[in-house]
Amino acid sequence: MDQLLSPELMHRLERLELVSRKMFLGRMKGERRSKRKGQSVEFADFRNYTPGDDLRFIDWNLYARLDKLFLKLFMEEEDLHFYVVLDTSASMDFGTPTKLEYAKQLAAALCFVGLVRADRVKVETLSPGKLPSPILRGRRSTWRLFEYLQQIESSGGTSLAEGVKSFCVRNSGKGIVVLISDLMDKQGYESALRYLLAQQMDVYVIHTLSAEELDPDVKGDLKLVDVEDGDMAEITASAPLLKRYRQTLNAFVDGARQFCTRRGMNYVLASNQVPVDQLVASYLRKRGLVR
Amino acid sequence: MLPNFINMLSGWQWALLGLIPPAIVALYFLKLRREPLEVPSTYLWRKSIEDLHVNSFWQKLRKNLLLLLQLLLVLLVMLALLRPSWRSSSLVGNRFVFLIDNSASMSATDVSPTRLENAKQQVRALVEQMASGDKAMVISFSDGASVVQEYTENRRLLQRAIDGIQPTEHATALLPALKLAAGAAESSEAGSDTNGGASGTLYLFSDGKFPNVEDVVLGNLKPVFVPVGNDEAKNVGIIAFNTKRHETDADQVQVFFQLANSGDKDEELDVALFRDNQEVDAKRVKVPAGKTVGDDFPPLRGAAEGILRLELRHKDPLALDNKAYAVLETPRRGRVLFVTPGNEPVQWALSTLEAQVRAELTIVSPDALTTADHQKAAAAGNYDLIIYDRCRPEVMPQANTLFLGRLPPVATEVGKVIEAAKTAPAGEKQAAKKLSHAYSLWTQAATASEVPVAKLPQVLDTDRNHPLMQLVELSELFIGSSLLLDLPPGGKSLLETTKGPVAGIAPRDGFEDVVFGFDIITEEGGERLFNTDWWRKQSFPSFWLNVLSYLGGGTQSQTALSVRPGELVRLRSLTPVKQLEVLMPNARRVKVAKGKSNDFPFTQTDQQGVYQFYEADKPAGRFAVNLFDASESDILPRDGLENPIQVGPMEITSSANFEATRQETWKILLILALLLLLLEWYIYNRRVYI
Repeated sequence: MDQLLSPELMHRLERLELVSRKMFLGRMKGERRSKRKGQSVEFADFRNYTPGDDLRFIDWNLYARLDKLFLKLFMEEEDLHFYVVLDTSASMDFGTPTKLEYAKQLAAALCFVGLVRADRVKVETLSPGKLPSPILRGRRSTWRLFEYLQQIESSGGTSLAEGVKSFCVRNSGKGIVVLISDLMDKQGYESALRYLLAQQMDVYVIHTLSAEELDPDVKGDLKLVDVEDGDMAEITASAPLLKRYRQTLNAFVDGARQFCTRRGMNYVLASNQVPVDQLVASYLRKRGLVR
Repeated sequence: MLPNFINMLSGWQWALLGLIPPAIVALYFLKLRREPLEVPSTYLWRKSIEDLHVNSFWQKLRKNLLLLLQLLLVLLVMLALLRPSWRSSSLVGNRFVFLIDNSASMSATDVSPTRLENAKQQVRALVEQMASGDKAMVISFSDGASVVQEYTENRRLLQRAIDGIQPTEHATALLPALKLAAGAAESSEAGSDTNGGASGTLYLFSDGKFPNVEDVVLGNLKPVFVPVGNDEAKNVGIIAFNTKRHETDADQVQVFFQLANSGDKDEELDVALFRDNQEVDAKRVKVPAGKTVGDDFPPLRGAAEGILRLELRHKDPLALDNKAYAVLETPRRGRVLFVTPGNEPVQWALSTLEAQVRAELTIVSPDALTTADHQKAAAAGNYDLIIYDRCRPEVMPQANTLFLGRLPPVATEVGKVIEAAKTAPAGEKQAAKKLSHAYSLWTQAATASEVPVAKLPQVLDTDRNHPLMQLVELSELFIGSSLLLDLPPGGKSLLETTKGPVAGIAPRDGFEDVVFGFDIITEEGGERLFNTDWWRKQSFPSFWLNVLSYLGGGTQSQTALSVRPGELVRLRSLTPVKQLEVLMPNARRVKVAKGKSNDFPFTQTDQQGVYQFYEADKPAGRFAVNLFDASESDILPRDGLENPIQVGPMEITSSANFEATRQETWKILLILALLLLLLEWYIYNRRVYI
């Protein structure tokens, strides 16, 4: 059983925490400041008393002064719902290391940060796997996280949009969602991302591409076979073709980036050659996902 | 194997050829196969391909490039099959014999630098063209031939041999060269050709100034004549240069010469006469085109001795024939010994004033023949002519002889003949023995008494062309009795009668013997009678003057001996010495040893000029070497087509550019095709981008 995360990495990750730009409502006490006023030590605000409220929260000092009943509202330290959605389509099972492996590592790193900070972490896959995805909380669940992650395998069939839609249906809460995918879907990624948008979650799209896709090294006459749908494209690799491909790739990436940033989603392009710790520590920190 | 199949490739070459079709098939399959490659998504690729297909011309070209290469390959193969080739003067065959003419006419400068150099260059070029495995031989010839380089494959040796061929001043003769070529070729190639005889090509580089030859079998040598020389060549040359002393005034010398113009234009040129390197006279001579003109100079005075040189002041391609040499010498009287028991008519004839001018006469009786002194003198060559009247010596002397009424003995030294008989090879022992015991070479009879005698023979004819019989009219001659002669080998009959020849002349080792079968005076029963009435005829004294001039050894003609370049000269010494020293025109000194016949044979007469020879450091005489060859001076090269060289029954025609062979290019084309194939393979396998 390979370690998804090395001990050093885990050590480093402990010092990070996930940050959400939006303040979210969680249902249990996490370490978040939530706008939801509840029972907590920190005093947040007052509210007029209405019959039926909890009498313990009446602020008696204020009643003494104003001769009116007010309730004390407290900042509840909410926990963050952190979702990682992994694209497990067949196209992810490609590259060295495979994009799926990379995604798993990345998921492991991010989820670990969340677990350490007592966030609520859930890892989902686009297509349902063997095991149900558990909701994890606390450092003690790390092993369960890793166990779940490791048994994730790629399977073809589900399109991006379909998978995201079913995720949204199943998880209606708010939080951070990190979509780790290569966005290689013949039907396009826009509808999938729109679904995510509709959830009003803090969306991070980590566009994972393998080095072979970013800079293909093909020669000669080839018959390219699509692993997802078996589509075949016959090419004769030549310098102009490769140039053209790169142009197409750049256009694709730029398109995705623009789409995301216009809609307030965060976009990060990740090559599977960039080490996970670097990605987490530098890029994602820049983006503001971790702190 | 199929008997008529000409196998042009060796085993490994066939194997290589056999590998080519599978190679092509492999390449073909390589092309069709597209390797399947899994990609995560063809999404982007499809987009790229679409874009690409729209624009690129180069892409189309590249796709078709390999098609183009294939087409080129097929084109090359087709071209190769057509065997395109161009004409080239190249060698045909594998064995070559190069005959290079280095005679005098090849020194002509009408083709630069000289004809000989031009021929050498052509041969060098041919040697360069030789493929490995070809053998060649180089023979240089003028009036003789020599093998300069034996059959060899080593081109460097051949080139060196060719470089070493020097021009000579000799005349040209083709026969020895052809014989040498055929013989040398055969001996080197014994057993190599199953057809027998040497096969190969004989290249003859010459200007063709030689007569056609007979009697040469060239076998399998195929002759090709390459004419060397410009047919615009014009030359005027000296072909004769003579002097004659004035009959009465010994001080005056008349100089005669002949010029030949071999060009097509009339020439007018200056001829200068030098005596001892000083110009004494000059003349302007007109020589019409293609003609020979003779002329003379006004008589020279005070010309007792000296070297005369005739020079043509004319620039022509052949300079060798523009100079001629003649040596003037004081006339020397011959030394004549008359051995006779008494013969007044002959004595008187030999003692006239004219005779005295020609020769110094000594008369002895036949008894002297047995004395040691005489024999020593005779053997030493102290006399130029010995006349034996009714006697004969035991041994022939070192001199010309004339016999009256007797036949000469067999050889110069009896002992030698017996020795020769002993050492003769088995088959010839009998003949040699017979010879040693023969009475004379001039008869079949074994003894004197058996020699056939003719009584009262009637004179039929004399050899009027012979110098001895000049102005000698003998048609009504009365002869009492005469021995009938059997002429020895090389002998000529001087006087023919109804019964047979009664007088003849034959050569013997550089001398000449004249035999008259009849005496002038005979003795019969103690009485002296005239056997013939010749002594009363006008021709009698003339005859004896001829004898003294011709056989007497005196130099009456002012011109000393003149020989052609390369000819043998027999030098005579006045005193018995072991060797002579010769000073050549190029200032080299050469020692000449005595030869077999008591003269000194000298062969290094290759240069034109005057040669001086010394006897014990004293000047003993001079002689000149001159070309004097009309055919060498006529430097117009033989047109091989119109005037082909006849070699026996064959004609050697020249071809202007040898045999126009096809220089095959198909081999080159096929190699190119193969290279192209390799290039294609390379392009595919290395997936080279364009």
